[in-house]
Amino acid sequence: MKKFIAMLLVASVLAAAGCAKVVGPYYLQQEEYKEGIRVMGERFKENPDDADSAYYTGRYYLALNEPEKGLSYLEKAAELAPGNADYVFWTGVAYWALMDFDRERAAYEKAVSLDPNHISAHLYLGHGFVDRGQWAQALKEYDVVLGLDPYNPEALYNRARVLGELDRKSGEIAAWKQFLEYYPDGSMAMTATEQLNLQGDFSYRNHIIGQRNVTLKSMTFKPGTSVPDADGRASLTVLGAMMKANRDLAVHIVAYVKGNAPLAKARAAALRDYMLNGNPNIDRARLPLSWFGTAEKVEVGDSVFALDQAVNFITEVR
Amino acid sequence: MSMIKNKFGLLLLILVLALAVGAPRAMAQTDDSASDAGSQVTGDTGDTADTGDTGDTGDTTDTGDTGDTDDTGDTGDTGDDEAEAPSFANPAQAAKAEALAAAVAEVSARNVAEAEQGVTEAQTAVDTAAAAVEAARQAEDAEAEAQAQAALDAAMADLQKAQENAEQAISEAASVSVESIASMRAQDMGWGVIAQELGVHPSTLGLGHMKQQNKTQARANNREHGRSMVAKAAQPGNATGRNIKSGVSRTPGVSGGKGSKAVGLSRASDKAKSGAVNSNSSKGKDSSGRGNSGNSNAGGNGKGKGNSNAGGNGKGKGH
Repeated sequence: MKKFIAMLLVASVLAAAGCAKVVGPYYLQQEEYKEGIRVMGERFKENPDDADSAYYTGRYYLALNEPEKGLSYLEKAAELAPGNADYVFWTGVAYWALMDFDRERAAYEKAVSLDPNHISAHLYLGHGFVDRGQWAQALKEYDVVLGLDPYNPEALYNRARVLGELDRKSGEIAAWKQFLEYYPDGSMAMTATEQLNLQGDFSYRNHIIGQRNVTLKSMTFKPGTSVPDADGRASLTVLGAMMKANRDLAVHIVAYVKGNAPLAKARAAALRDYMLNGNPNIDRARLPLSWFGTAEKVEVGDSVFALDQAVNFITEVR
Repeated sequence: MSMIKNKFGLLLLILVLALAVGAPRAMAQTDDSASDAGSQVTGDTGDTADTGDTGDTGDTTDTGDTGDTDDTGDTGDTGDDEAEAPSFANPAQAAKAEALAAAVAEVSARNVAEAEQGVTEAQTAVDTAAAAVEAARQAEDAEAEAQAQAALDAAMADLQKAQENAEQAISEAASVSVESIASMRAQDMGWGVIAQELGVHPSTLGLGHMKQQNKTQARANNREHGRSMVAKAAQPGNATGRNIKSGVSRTPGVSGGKGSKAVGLSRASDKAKSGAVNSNSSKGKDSSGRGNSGNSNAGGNGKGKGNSNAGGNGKGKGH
């Protein structure tokens, strides 16, 4: 009989623990943090040794931007399960929200000592080093992150920044280009493109298309011809789609080839043909052409760069 | 008043630029090297054309655009009415047209920001009205509750209008369909974030078109420590914010807009990736249809959901 009761007790405890692992993530995923606090907070009161309940309650408070309350639960979770790298990691995030950066770093360092493959702990260690201007240490952490998660956007982006700060120009350019290849959209891409252009590389450019700043991969061609390389065609796809969505949008295609105006003209025409072939509903008058036998002068920051062969897209203002 | 002055100034600038662009059209085309005489040419390392990259085997990306230019040759035979006359008479005219487009976009960005502000104000009005309803309910004052409910209904209607207005403003400015914007909203993206990520917000419109002194200032600001360590992490383009909801790297760009290549290269390039391990986008939860979603390799540590990277001082809202 005693054995049976003991087994029942163990089963109940396991069930309760299991529930926390199932229920806890649910409230995070549904972003029902207040309800989560009610349920898991209650569970923690009933089972003060339940690290999972404490952990999730801490996470909910943190998600609600209440880091002080969150930290107390997260610390409790870490205390109850000292070998859990996640629990320690999240105390670090809470310390960051409370602007206690030394403890934040200590928490991440402890997390990676418990789990050397903890991607987020390495990432945020790197971020902390960037925030402090400790570039070499940051680079080391981002390299670890990218070894574990090769497409991690923030690691790729900040790695490029860090290489720039370390005056490793060629590495910086390559890193920006790698970031842009994987993540060519949004504010980070626009900033990355700006930084790339400041280094004199125009593989990507930010264009004002319509009333929007949009990053496009620059058009390149088979040498000496007007046959566009495959890489740039995705930019034409974006342009075509924007023109489909906005029937008032007209875009000048302006080609430059230093010393060869006829080739510039052929290239402008080839790009227009490509777009019209793929988008038969677009009126060709919405893609006026210009071509010049000179280099394009592009002003970036305090510098002016001459691009011997280039294509620019300029919105027609009507 | 100052906003009106600013707008007036911008409109004046646009007018002047429009005249500048329009006037030289009658001029014969020349390769205008003199027009840039004042510019200091510091290099041409940006020339990316004709790099000798012949390894491209074809574009496998463009599902919507089937055009194949491989047979266009390089004859330059356009066979149309502008074959003899480029639209811009010279590079200087093209540069002026570009500046004009930028000026118009700036006006639009301010309108987008105003529309976004309109939503914020309407939301505040709704929250206030909802609190009044609740207070009247608590006080068991039926008359006050009815009045407060009417005010809430009106505020909700205003909010609906403000949201439609913002949706339309962003859609028009970004040349992205209203449906795509709605799908981004359905992914819990805030108006401001959508506008920023689509490049129609004043904070991102100038990226790549910014003067060096501003960049220098931005870099100087970045070196501040202490409190600013957190504040700067929330700035657009500064990617060191800690995600207090998910703990994983933010996926750049917008969520949603699945299938819309107008969103940008992430939807048109097969080289684009879907985000960090354990991010929502890598798990296919953001319905974005990004170029490549096959990078998830299990593991990672963040357990939750959320696309906030704002961080701020830990008090700001993620979206």
